[in-house]
Amino acid sequence: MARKVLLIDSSLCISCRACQVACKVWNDLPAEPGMQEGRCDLPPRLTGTRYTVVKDYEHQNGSGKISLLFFKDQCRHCQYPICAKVCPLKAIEIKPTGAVVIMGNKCNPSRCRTRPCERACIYQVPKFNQELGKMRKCTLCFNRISDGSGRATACADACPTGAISFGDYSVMVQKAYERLNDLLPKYPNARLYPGQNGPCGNTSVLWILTESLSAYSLLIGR
Amino acid sequence: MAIRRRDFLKWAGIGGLSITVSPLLSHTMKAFNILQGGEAYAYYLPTEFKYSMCGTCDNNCGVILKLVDGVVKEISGNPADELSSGGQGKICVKGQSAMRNLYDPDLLKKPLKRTNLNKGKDEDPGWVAISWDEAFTLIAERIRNAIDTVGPRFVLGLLRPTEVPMHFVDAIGTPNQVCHVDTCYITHDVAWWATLGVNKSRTLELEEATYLLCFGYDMPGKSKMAQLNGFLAARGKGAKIVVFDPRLSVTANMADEWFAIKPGTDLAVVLAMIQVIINENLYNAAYVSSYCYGFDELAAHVNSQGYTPEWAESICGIPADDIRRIAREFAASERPLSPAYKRDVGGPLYANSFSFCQAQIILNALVGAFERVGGFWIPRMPATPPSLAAFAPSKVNYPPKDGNIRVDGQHLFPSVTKAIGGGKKSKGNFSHLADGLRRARLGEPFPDGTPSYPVKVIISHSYDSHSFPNPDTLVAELCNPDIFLVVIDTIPSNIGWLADVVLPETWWVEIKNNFGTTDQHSLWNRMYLRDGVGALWDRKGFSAMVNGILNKLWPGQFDIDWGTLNLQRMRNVIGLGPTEDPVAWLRAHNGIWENKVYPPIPQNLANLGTPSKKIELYSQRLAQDGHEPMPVWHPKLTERSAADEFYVVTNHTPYHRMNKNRNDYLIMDLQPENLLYIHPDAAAMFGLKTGDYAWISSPTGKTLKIRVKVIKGIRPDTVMTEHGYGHFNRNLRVAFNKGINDGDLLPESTVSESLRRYPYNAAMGSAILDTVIRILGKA
Repeated sequence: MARKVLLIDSSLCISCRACQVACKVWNDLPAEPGMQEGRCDLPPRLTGTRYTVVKDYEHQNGSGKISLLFFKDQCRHCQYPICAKVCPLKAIEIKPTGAVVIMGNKCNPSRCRTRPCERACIYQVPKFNQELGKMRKCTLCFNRISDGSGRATACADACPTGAISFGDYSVMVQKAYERLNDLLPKYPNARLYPGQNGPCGNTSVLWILTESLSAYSLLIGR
Repeated sequence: MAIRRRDFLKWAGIGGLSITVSPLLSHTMKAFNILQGGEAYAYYLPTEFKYSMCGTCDNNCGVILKLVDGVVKEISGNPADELSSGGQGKICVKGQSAMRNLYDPDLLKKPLKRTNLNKGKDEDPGWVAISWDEAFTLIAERIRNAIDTVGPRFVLGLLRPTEVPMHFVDAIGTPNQVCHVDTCYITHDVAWWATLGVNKSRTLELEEATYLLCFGYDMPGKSKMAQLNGFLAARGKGAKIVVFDPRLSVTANMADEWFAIKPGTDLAVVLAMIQVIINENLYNAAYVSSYCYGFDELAAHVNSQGYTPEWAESICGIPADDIRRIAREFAASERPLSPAYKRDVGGPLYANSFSFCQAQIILNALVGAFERVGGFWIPRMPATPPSLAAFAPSKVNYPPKDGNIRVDGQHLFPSVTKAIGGGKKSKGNFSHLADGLRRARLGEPFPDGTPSYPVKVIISHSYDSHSFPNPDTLVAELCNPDIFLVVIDTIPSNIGWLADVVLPETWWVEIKNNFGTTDQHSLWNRMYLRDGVGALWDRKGFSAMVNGILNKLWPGQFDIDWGTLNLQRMRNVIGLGPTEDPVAWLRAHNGIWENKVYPPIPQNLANLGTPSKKIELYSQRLAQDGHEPMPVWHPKLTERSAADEFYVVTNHTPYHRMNKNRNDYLIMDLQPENLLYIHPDAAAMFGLKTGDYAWISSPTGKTLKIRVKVIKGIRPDTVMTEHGYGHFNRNLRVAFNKGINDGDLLPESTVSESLRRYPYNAAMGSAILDTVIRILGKA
């Protein structure tokens, strides 16, 4: 199967979190521990049972205009994933679609103890799942898209606005640049993220952001 | 508490082999699959797809249910439904949550009877399961007793004015059919009736509009599919979007300009814009002269009252130059539209909301936005003739109504009665119900001297006390042991906690061999197949319950075979012969019948239901009934008088549909409690930071503890919170006691207060947000 890209257009996001719920349904994940007791999770973050989360930021630009920024955080699926390099058990594999997947049968944090994948990931994505005793993260739905039904990832299928789309690498990268050009007149700071020549190579997840990286609390250059 | 549904069989894919596992082995297989590196499953069990119409919210999107071995595993949009999801086959997060609602372990499964005669929030009802026959007998006995001893009007239905509930109400002969709309959109309905002669249309062709002027309109932020798609399409095509809202909503965030307007002053802005458009001759003169009545009166009115942008600035704080500029831009745009839905500013939020609705309609009429591409379309919905009368003529010999005096006092508001169904049905009156019940209990007559009376039986269908402003007063009245309360719902509700009998109703996913229609975004007629999974456990549809109760009271007299009737109607709509199967026809046609006529001919405007047959900028009906015929500025009722007082606005999260999916564990996972959104300057006064808890007190004297989120995108004098939290029914194991109920912050109205506002608030809307709350400090 050819390489795929998940494109997330933040300018279309309404923060409804349909993607978050669909991810939990597809991956059969439970509700967050503690959340059901009525404690609001402020700020939301990735956990071992939550592979994606929509974060919201309030941004005030130089002229005082306030805007809400939504960022669907998840694994970037790097071309040269550091997590896979540092895993002593070689439990992290790169699938033909570009998905970087922690293989459950190999991952064993009790053996490597220090959870090097979590420490090494510059985006701090892999998280420990208490119930399974394993490291977990987004799989780019490799087990959903490979069944020949032509479906996209669970989050892309669930997104009501079309902010999340999924497709072949070349098509989606071209779409990303076209969309970026459309947005630039209205959002002069719009950009693609992560940089395509970053330390981990081309990622299989691309964001179109409407503001600078610092507005999303993302580290510059990564 | 981690809730997981493990009762479905799943398979693990091994080298393309399909293997069958026994239920006992499924956990092992799951574990194996996890070891393989994926927690998601392909299914080895038989899969089928069924068409339905989503009933979680009233946007009513066409959907496809994916069933695996008879279990709903996925709900997606129907790509054949162009109007609700733009043909993308998408539905929102609320629609997707319906499958978890369906298999919710807390769902009502059998009829329940209360054994603890004491009622209250902290009283365990002591439910015992009973049979349907026992339940019907018990309810019929109480209704019979009320009718025989005092009269049919002593039976009150908390029921929507749709066909089956109205059949029940008419068969009983009670005038008391109490509905929620006066806390929802009654202002829109009455203003449309006064101006256009029809009830409010929810059909907006947003996608073709070139300028959207929004007042509190936030349908994208509520992820209503039809309106969301239309809005995004218009934005994508370059429409200019301007939003007036006290806080930065999702819609405002996507807009070109956002004005943080003071709550309850939008009317001033619209009046000033009307004045600018008239005085500068920017209106659509051809349209106004052909289709509008009373333009000269309106022009004289806005000038004699002095509704200038400078005047508006002094009220709402928005610069006069901006108001003038936007009015000019709006009128100059090719297809401008000021959209409205339900509880935006035009909803019954403030004492002046009715005047606002009227002014907004006038603004739209001046730019020719009715019956125009990219505008508001007169409803063309009822696509399912013939009616009940045509099919069951012998069944509709209803008894005469037992008087017209209603417990909630709606008979004192004749304009509302006339506007809605000519007095045959009602869309009120939640906000007076507690006042009416109190009045009846104390033997206090209505302000006009008509006597009140204490109802004996209340039947509530799919309503919750949570939807009432200041619900505690209603809860206290419902705890009255003289009232026999029957609650019909799919999941436990707060009002159900106080019930004597609870009847479990089927959820929309279960409805089969039926159809659905919608008036939402109905640019053309559509009918959807509802081909669900069939009633689970021991649940029944509402019409079966109505038949069950009425047959116990008057055997056979009001018995209607709704199933056959519905199939016959489907045949009529599609044009099938009497022996053909309409369900099979719809299954073969993507689950949708539609009569696509686009664009329509604007002939509707030539013969409107108003006295002049035109759009009445000067409303003759309002003048006849002694109301103001044209919108006049009235201030909201309450003003801030101290630094610790704040205006309050409420919001619905995009993932909650009121209380319907309140017990979905994955939705609760997104936001387990509602928050108080507050400006940094205001938060600094109390030393509050995001994540802190604060004590707030309502004008009704309640003190509540709520978590704070500090945001810049809100006025410093306003706070916001969200609806759908703070449930006290302990049978809701996920939703129980999380966050607060926003209704607790809002005062209920009384009959006397509504009468005082009646001259200018012809819709008797409840002015639900016309209040201030006080922040007491950090908790």
